Amino acid sequence: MASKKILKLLVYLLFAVLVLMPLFVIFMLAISKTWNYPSLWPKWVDWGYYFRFLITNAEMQASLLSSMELAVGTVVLTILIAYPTAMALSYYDFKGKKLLNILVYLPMIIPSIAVLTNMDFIMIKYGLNGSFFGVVSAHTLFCLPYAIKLLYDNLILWKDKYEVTSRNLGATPLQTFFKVTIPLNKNGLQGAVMMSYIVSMTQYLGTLLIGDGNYITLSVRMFPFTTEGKYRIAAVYGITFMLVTLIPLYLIDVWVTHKGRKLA
Amino acid sequence: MLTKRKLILLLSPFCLFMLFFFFSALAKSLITSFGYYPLMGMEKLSLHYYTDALNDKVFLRIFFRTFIFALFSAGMACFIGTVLAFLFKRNDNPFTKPFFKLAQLPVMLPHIFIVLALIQLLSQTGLVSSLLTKIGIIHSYNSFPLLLNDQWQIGIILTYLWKEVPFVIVSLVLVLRQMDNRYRIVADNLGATKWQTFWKVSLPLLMPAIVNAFIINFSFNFGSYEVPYLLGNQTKEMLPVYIYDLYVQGDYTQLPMIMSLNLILSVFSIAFAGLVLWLSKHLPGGHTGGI
Repeated sequence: MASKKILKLLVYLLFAVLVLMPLFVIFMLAISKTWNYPSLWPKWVDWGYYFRFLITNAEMQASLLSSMELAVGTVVLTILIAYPTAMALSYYDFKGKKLLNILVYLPMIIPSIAVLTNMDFIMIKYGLNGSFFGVVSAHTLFCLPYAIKLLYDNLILWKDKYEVTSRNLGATPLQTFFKVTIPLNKNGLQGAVMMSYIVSMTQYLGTLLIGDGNYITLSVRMFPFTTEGKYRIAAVYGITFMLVTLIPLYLIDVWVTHKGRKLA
Repeated sequence: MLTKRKLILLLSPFCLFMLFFFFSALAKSLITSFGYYPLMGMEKLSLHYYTDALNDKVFLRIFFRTFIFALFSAGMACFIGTVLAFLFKRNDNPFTKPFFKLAQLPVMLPHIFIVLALIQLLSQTGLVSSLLTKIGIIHSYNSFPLLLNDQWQIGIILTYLWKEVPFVIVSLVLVLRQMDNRYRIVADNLGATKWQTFWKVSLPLLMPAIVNAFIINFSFNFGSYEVPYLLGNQTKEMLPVYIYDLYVQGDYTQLPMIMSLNLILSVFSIAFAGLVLWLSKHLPGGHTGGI
């Protein structure tokens, strides 16, 4: 038994090192002044550099803004489309339900290079290429499978039993929606919002191709810096990306669990 | 309460969205791939773009290479992820909670992030190479093996593993937590060995989730552009880079050909996903459907 515990500890430590090592390297890269071969440790560490860059660099602020705009737009559009779909799939039995179930996963199964070049082609025809709605739609397409799956898994647990009860007791549809449906499905909703936010933030090709270069988000901006060997600036963008992804998601998590405790 | 009108209302946003952005795009590229592209004065329908593509040795070689690569890397990710998820599934283990939190981190970060870290760590003038030189295992950075932009796509595989092993863990742990423990206890009680319980009870119950994760990972590895572009080898090109390069060259007479490649790719991926799902029904426990 003891040897098994030690094995688990070793596996856990190895896993932790493999996951955290890249984060640590990027963090050090972002605050180091010179860190070249063959030195194992940066020669000069400047803690203020990162924050000065964040405050003074206009490019950085523009990227941060585009990333947030697109992410928020994508989350809203994804939930608006995914929630009714998940409700229909979990509450109703209808002809073609199986087909719809497959359809939901298609954007995930078809290789993204094919989906995006096709989509770019049609966006040009609609005149939506380079527009906010166009890019948000491209992101949404990739978020929908995750969002619908997460919401469906949650909605199927209770189906509409509580909603019927609530309506029977005289609640209006709106009251039912906000006081019964949403609280019961907050886990699914939280998962869907988080996943859409992540998928939108990490998109590269979709943002670049459909956006016609109008939306240079954080993950898009990291690209040229990496290929040109400007690793330090790329790392600064990477750290910013981490901050704006991890902090909001952590806050949502805390907020939802806190609210859940109050309800229970 | 469940009226037909309400159902139509609920389904319409999804259907409209898919119709406008997904199926119309698919239809447009289908028509174009048959050679109908009035903008360039091409109006004759034919299948020759498809027959050309299927006879093109370069395309087929790249296609095959990318397929094997995607199969291998997705399979590795699922295997490692499943083993780790099983090791850390029980709540009595003190490492389970921090392990699960750690596993969520890579899922949230973009691929470019890990690519940047790998360049700093594993390139010939990277940190690992420096460390080995310092210890004296290698004499100079020249003798450090080429791990990025190499012939065997090691850099790309490492990047995908870093992102996808945690993805598999996160999706399996969610299922494992909901899984009914009673089946395992019954199996133990009836005298099954640990291995038998794992192979005949736990794994079959988990199979649908593993297959789903495999299909998602495979499709991603098969058709995403950014990592092969950054860490790929120019003599061993990958399919997404090949198609993207053709597309952005801006030669409009090439469009029907590109669209036919896209459709071959799409049909192949759907067929492959179907095949995997069908095969999984014949794997242990597949017919019960699991949870």
